[in-house]
Amino acid sequence: MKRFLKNSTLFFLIYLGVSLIISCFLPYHWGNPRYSVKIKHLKRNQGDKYDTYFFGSSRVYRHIDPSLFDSLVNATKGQNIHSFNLGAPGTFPPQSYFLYEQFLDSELSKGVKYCFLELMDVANIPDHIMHEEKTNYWLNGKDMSFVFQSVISDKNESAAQKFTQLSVYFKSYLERVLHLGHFSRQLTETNYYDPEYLGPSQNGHLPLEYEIETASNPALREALLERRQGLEKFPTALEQRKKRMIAAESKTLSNEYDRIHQQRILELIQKSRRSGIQLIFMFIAPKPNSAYRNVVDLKPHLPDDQLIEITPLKYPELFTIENAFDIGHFNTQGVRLFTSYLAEEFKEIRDID
Amino acid sequence: MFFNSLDFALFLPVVFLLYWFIGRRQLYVQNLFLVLASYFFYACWDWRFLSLIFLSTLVDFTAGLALSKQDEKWKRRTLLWCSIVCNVGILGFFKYYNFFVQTFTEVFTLFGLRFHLATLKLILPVGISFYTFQTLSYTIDIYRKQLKPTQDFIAFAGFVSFFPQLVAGPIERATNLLPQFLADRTFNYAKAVDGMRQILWGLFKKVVVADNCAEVVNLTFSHPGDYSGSTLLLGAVFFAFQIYGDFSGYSDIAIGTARLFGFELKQNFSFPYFSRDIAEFWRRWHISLSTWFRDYLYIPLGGSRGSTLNRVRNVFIIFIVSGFWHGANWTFLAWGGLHALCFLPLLLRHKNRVHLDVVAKGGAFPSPKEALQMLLTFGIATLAWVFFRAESVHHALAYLFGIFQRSLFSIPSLSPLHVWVGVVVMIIVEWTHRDQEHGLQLNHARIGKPLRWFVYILLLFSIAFFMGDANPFIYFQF
Repeated sequence: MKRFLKNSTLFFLIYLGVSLIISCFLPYHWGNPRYSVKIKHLKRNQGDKYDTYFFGSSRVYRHIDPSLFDSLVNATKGQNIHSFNLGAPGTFPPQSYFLYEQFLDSELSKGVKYCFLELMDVANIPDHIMHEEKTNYWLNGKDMSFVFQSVISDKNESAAQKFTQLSVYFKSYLERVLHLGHFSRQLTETNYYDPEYLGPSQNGHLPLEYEIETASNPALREALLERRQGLEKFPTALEQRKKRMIAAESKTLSNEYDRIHQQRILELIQKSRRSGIQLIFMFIAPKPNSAYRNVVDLKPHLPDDQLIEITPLKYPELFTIENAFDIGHFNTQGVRLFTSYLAEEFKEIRDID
Repeated sequence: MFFNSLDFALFLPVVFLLYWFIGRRQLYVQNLFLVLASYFFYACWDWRFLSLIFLSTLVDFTAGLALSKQDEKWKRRTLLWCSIVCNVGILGFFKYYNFFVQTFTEVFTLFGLRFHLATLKLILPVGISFYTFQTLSYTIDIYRKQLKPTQDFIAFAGFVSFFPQLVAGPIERATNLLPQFLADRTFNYAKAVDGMRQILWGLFKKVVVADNCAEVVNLTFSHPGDYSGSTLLLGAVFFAFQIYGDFSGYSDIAIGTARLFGFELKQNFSFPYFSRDIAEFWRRWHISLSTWFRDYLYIPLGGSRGSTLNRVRNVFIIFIVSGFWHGANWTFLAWGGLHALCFLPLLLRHKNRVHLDVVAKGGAFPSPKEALQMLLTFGIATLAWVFFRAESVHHALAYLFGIFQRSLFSIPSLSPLHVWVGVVVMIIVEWTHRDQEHGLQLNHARIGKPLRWFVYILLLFSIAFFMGDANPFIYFQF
């Protein structure tokens, strides 16, 4: 038995060693295709000097129009900002933190004044995307440790939920470490570049209504159409969601909040400051589940001048069927309104008149 | 929990270590632990259906004990039928209820009669066809006085629910597996290493061959009208390799896993695509099921004895039932019927037991005649697989008609190189091991350790390369 265990361990270590060597020789591979296209675009067009970037999920990618934002902010005397949207669907913490830190460490961060990062709870990994590279390409020791501590300290989740979430993260991390299913994509998708993802103004913002008209992939168009029709079939769902969000925000704040997450955010703010960047967090109404409640409890413990809130409680007129594309996203009219509120909030915290 | 998932990769070493270290030299503890691990393994799919496994275990354990105490023939027969009705009743309800309701409704409608019986939204419990047949064989063997019943309920529960072969076989006989639960097991290094090799080879066949073939197969079968005859033919050929890689891969992992725990399961596949006729194919394909039907259905019906009419009837019954075992769909019946039609001429001409040995024994290559025979057998099996894969008989016929048109002689529009590489590697490796139990039964005397380890690492990397979402095994649906 000892011989068997010894040989099995040795075999496993050889596998790990060889896969580590192979991965060193292969070019870096982004598991998040929409984000990677944007970074490639920025590197190819170094002449376009952006000083403001937006990071986050589809709520950033779809909702923030940098051109409109720039014009609204620059309308104020003395302001001259030039922004780019680096949001990508499904990019939640800690992936968004990983990407932001990677950005800070890169050449692209030079000369940047402001960065906006979507404020969300540590993401649960749903089963259906667990094995996707996007889910784990970014997982490293630091973020695994953050996830474990944050989930364990979560007061809103049961022990079973915590166990499930951590085991999914653990398995996903193992897949990354063992390179299961990664090498093939690393070899075949390294040069992947689809300018459609950059949006009509090539500033990283791709509105859903524009994509539904222009996407070259018919399956994607169909999926988007289904999402829109889903809301048309159940228009009351939006109102219910809004009510739940307002209810979650209106509850008395709990004294318990995720201190691990707070610490991570403060670290990011400090690190940004060292690079001369003001980091602003945006709380922009994700799904009204327990994670939403966690963020509601957390946000009073973040610096006021580095937090913007665009939620149903504050802007009830924004979250209506007239402005909606699907249950979680705005249409073109909603995007205009959202971006203008964001610009107003930004001017307010910057004390720009 | 699929064998090709990370969950299983974590589950297996934990169970292995606990099994050998905690339950060391205590058979009862080892067996109990195996039962608990197997129930946990099954509960990962759907814990609710554990009750069915437990019920089946309880019924046959009790029936076995009762049979041993009875000498009167009618009482013994009653007990046997109780077990059959209970087991087949559960299987029939979950697997065939909706099929029969729909068929009756259609038949009555055909005669202008109104007949309405609601279909039910039933989920087919994973592995039910496999463990039902396994437990049935136990009771039938006791009835036939070929086996003495066990008094050890835990050992019997282990025999029914043994996780490596619980959900997709091989369908074990109590005469083979149960004594292994009742005897002390010691760790055997050579067996365990060979088990690991068999697991590795099974994973290669599943992940590299079957799952890659599936990409082409899914395209051609979902839109046969969009492809040329040659592409459709290639899709059918790839399905032949997909189902082989998938199911024999599963069986290899099951047998290899069992070896790690000191158990020897029956060989389920013996390189069937190297068969020279359909009779040989059926001696090499899903052996545990075909021998089950042979012993418990074909021979009791009279087998190949009796009048020509009886022999024809028996062959059709066994192949149709075998097709029906796979699922409640006319396509499976057509698949079984086609095989029966190809098998019958051999039986009637007494040529069904001509090829009992491996092809080209002792040689490196087959003779031109053998090569032609193998190609023909593979061709027949491939065309029959079209029915197996299709959604309906109409779909299968449309696919077959799509193959046989002028575009059959064009260059296929889908022919990914990586799929071919996987298939060719599998064929070469299995050809060189066709007299062995599995494709990676390496000869230590001929192949040194560095080369063996190089092969293992290479296989493991090819598996890791193509691994993504754990695709379910085809036979799980049966």
